[in-house]
Amino acid sequence: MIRWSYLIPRLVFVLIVYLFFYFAFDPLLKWTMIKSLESVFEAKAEIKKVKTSFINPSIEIEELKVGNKNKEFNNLFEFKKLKFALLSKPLFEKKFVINEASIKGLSFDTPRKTSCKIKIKKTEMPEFVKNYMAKAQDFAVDRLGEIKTDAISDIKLEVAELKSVNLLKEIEEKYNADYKNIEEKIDFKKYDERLKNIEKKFEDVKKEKNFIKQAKQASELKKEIDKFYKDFKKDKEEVSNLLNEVKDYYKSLDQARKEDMDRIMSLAKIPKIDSESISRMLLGSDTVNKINDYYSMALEAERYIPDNPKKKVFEEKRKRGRVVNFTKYDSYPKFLLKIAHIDGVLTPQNPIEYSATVENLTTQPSVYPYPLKIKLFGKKDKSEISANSSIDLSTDIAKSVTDLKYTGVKVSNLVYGKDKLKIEIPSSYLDTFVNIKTLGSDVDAEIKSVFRDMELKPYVAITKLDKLNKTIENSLSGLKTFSLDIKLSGKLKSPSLSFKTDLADIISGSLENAFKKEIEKAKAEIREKIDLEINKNKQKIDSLIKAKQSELKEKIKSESDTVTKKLEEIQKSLEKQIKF
Amino acid sequence: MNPLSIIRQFVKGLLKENEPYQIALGLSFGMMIGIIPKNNLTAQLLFILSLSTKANIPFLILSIFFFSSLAPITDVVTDKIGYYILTLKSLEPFFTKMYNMPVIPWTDFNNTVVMGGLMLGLSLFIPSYFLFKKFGNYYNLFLKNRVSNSRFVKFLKASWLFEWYFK
Repeated sequence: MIRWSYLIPRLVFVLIVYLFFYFAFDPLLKWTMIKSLESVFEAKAEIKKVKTSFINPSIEIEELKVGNKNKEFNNLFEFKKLKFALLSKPLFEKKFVINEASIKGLSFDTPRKTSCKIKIKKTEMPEFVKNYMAKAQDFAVDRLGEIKTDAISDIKLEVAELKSVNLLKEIEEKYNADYKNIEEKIDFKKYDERLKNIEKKFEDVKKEKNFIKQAKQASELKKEIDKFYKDFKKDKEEVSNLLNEVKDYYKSLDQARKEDMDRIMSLAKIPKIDSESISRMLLGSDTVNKINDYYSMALEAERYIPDNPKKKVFEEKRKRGRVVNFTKYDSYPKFLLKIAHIDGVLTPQNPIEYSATVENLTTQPSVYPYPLKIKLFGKKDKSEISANSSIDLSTDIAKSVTDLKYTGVKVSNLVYGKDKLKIEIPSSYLDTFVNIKTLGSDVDAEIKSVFRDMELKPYVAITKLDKLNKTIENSLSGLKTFSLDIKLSGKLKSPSLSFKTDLADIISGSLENAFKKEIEKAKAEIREKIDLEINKNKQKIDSLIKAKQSELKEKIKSESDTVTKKLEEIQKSLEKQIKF
Repeated sequence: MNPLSIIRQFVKGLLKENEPYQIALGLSFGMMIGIIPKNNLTAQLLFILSLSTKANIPFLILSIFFFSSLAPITDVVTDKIGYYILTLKSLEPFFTKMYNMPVIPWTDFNNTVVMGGLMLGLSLFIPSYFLFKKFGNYYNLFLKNRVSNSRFVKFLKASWLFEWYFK
């Protein structure tokens, strides 16, 4: 009844499969893991041993080391042992559920004997990092070099552009026009007719025999003479006023001179190199490179998060029949790590013994709607590290909050900047505070680092003046502490970065102080030049006005004297006549 | 398995291992497998089980194809039977337990057509076995010679390739 010819080959096949998994699966898995790690971290990865068990599904990884692509002889991280067991029941549903995992001896930045460089296609730098690096390089180191000439020598005094000089020319033209106008007004011939008329009337008064009539005519004549006087006086005053108006021209000249001064002085401002640019130049590329590393890792992690966390994973389309669902006691996501205990020594330089937990790590947060939590704490002497992170991907808008405090860290042989502006920190203590918040695709992060109890060796060659460079170097070398603030905000895919460091403020301040004296000197020179130009033109106009004014005054006097004399004569005669 | 080998097995099956009980087993298993959907562990297990017995393979395959083509008609019945069984209150704890067991959900037992087809197939297995056994006798008496003398089989037998392959 039983067809052994069918069954025996299949049983043999099952045996071969079992033997494959028994003998060859672990090395194959080890190889796959090494290749995956190398592709993610772009550096050599090593694993001493991988041991799997299928009866009670579990994996043990011993002595895993991943090189640091930026430091050839350092490991990015390594651990002694990773152990976890998979729940067998969900495994039949192709779900990897780990209730508890442990990583022992996880350390960072450990030294390695061999190089970790490998030939692998490098991950392309994100667009925002590329832009930032270009910006940092484009920043005008050359401009700093040329700063001396920019500030003083390049200020050229163009006489033709001086408002005051132009105004003086205008004044000259205006005065010439006004002079003609005044000259015309000084011509008192228009009063001749009225004088003749008065003289004629005076003759008539004299001829009149009737005393009463004569008195009446004399009174009328007197009134006319008074009116004449009044008009004449008014005209004379007007002319005098016109003459005096010339003095007002100088009021506007003073204003123009002030404006000229301000404009020229604005060109001779103390060079302001904004702190942000210096920060970027000094610390930008190193920091951005570091951010780029973490960013690349974050993007790699993002690949494992489903696009649509709300996707119904259990829904399957069936062509035939209906599906009757029963109560599911445990529904698990495709990957779940409920809790992982991690411990180790942080770095060889800062041997802080720490312990950490990672909870609720899953690829399907909608199925297991608990936020991913990471807690870490370690302390040794004055060094301390603590981190708290909560990442909730189960809601429509993913949100995360991460706080990291890493204080009292001993750092040594740090180098920031290059070529024309470089600082070396042979030894220092570093306190770092990180706060990262994300909401949907928005990110808002602040990283504050404080270097303290520090030795600092600056190399400054940003200007062409050695003396000035030395001044900046001196102001930096005495420094015992400085801080660096990095802000990252905007969209996660292309965030904007900003840097601030008090080192930059110090450099900027030193530049400012060094330039102050020279700028003041240059300002005085410019002021002198402007005054010289103004005075040259002003003297010319002054002498012109003086000459013209005396000429006009003379003319007014003679004309006025003639008229006044005639009138006085008439008036006296008239008075005499009436008394008789 | 190459196509020639399949043909060889098929023709061999038609001419040898064709005792009436073997034909009956093949046809009965084929009927059971044919009326249920194939993309589940139940169908695969039934197929392995049928191949593990001395059931006549060509008749098994022909039976599967034949009853699968009747699926639109049989599904109407099996869906109702399956739904009735799966919604029986008394069996709910049992099914829930199965539903939460590893591997068992791969059998698609909670699909009405799978459950109904399996139940219908099991209940018809014994009657159909005896019925098909009679067909087996009939085949051996009247049809077997006709098949072996058919042009197709003769063509295959005559071909040098076939001969060479059979050596």
